[in-house]
Amino acid sequence: MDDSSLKDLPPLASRLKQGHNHSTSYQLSNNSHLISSLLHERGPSSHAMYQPDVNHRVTEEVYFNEHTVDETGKRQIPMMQSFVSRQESCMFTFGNPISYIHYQAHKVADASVLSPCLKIRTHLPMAIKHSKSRDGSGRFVGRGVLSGLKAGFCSLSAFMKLISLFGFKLGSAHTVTSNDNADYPDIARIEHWHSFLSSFDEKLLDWTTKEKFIAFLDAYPSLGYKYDESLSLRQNINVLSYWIRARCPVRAAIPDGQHRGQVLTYGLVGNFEITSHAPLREFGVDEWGGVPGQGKLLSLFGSVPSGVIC
Amino acid sequence: MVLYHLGLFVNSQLCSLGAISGEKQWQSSQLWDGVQTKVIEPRIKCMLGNDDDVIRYFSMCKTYSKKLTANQQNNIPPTLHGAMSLIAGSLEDQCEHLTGTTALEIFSSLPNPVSSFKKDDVELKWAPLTFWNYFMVHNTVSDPPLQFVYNAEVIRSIFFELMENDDHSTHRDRIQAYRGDSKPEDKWNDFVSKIGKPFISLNYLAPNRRRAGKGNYDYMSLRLAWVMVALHASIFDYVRFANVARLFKPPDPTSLQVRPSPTYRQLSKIFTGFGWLEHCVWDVHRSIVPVVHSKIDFEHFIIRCLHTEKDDTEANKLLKQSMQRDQFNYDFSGWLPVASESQRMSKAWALGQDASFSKGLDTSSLRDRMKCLAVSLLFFDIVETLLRHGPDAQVADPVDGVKDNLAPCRKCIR
Repeated sequence: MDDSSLKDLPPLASRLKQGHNHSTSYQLSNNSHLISSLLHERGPSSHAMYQPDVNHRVTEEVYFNEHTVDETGKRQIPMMQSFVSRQESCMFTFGNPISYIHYQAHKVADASVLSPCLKIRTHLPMAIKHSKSRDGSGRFVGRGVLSGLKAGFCSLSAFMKLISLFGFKLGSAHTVTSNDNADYPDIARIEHWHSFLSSFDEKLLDWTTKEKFIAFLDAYPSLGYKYDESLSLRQNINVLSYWIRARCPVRAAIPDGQHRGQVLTYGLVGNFEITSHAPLREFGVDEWGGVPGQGKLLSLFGSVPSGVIC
Repeated sequence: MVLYHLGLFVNSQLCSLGAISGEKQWQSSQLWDGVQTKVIEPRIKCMLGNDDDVIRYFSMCKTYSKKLTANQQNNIPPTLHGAMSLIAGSLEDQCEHLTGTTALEIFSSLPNPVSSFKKDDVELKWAPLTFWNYFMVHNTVSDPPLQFVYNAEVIRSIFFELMENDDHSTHRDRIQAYRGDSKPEDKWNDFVSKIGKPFISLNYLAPNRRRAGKGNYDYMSLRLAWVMVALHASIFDYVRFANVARLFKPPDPTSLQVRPSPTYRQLSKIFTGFGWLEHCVWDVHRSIVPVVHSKIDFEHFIIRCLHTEKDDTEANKLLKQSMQRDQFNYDFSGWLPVASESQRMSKAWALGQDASFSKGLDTSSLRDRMKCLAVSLLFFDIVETLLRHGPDAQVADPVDGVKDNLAPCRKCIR
């Protein structure tokens, strides 16, 4: 893309920075989670969501649908009920924001030899097709691991590749000026992310109808994605997520709020149907919902295709 | 199976009664509400391309996640499912970090067989058990292979460290089946002091009520004993322990999104109740284990006979009688009488041999290892079969003098 057609990213807003003992963070309250949801690594031909091992909590999908009781005895409504409800008392992220980190996916010949911390894998065990399954059922239940990718820091060049898809570039005003800048050479910082995620017009981050989604695509022509009339709205959003990830190696992961993040992402791209009374079907990680009739999960455990990364 | 379908039926009826357009629900969901998000960055000095820095960075993210969850008092629920998930997650985390490998492939071929292990010479690390490091290691005749012992100790230490953490005391009480009638610490300490040696042996047996009554397992509840069986089985394949945790959650994930069905919730409690699982998993395992043992004994005996005995011995006559090729029956129920006879014969036969051979037969390391492997994997297989196909509608009749935990199931089936 011609660099001259790109606009400067809005200036960094360092005053929003919140410090903790071991981490620094920026909080946002907008619809930018939609952009991060598009960046979640998912199987190249499946719905399963992958990320590095950054979240300590492993509970199963029952969490989405069941009432829970915390240690104080307070009853919590199911996460899905909260998600589809508009009641203020049931706000989905009430009090606890969802935390994101962004990383870069690198191609490797064989991820099985890597440290587990570098592997990109499903957060929860899942059922995937496996020709050598022990019980002959053709299924294997366990964590899926992407065999051809590993996680690393998000470089500035990868970050620039991402923002260029949305018509932005880094200007001279985007040098991080904090004292610890020297500790992160050539790595995209949260100031960059904050600036990027705050730059979206909120009106454009409403994809509830086909027209609104097309308006978003029209506003960012550098994405190069054309709405496919033969697909549904959610299938188009799903294909856009693969489209973006095929053009830049930046990915999103969730250290805290993983389950809510999964509900958001799966809800956004049509991994499950949202209805008032229909049962929530088993997470169809072995099905491809992007383009009808283009096949099931082809990959096998240990040999999942690495996806397309330029 | 009836209950399983009943749950689906209830769900499907509710679906047809109250379906609302999914598109409208999607449009009015909180996807579009301005979700609060946070972008975080651990404070760490790091270099682009340095994998060690990346690992440190992600570990800090994980720590951050843990602290945040604790601050929100949103810890893993103190349910049995929560407790078992906690153990499964910890096993997966720590074993995998130790090994860099995943699940067991016991008969996978390795390029370089290991002929022997010497504990003093070889620095043992966690490793999957394979044909070579499990069957082909001859440290002593009767001892378990060193790799097995090491893995068992790792599994045991992970479990004890987790349970002795104050944050997990409620989970521990759940697993212990502690009901507040005595000091849980005393019971736990008693258990810790007694479980060590049996656990790392190859013939760690599933306790049952009869043995518990005789005092062999009176230092732990049946529930805790079964958790230990599952942990013992996970020495072979810790990844499959997660499936045991899944037993304690509703078997059908198609529960409702907006309005949970009280009927389904009630059924779910039955499915995940310990009485039901006792019937569907533990009893089944207890019933099959003797058959598996007998089969292995019998096969072992056959091998010995074929190698050492002449054709005209009593043993071989029976053997040939049992093994008429065109009539040979692999029906499991047929093994028990044959195996019991073969056991009797093999002992008598062994006594007639010299001491070294007798020792080799009586304490066959191959046989013990085979039994341990078979019993462990059988346990996981039963669990996974139940998870996949649902429970059998056949419920055992109540026994006089024993609390009838299956009464709700029987009522539902009626």
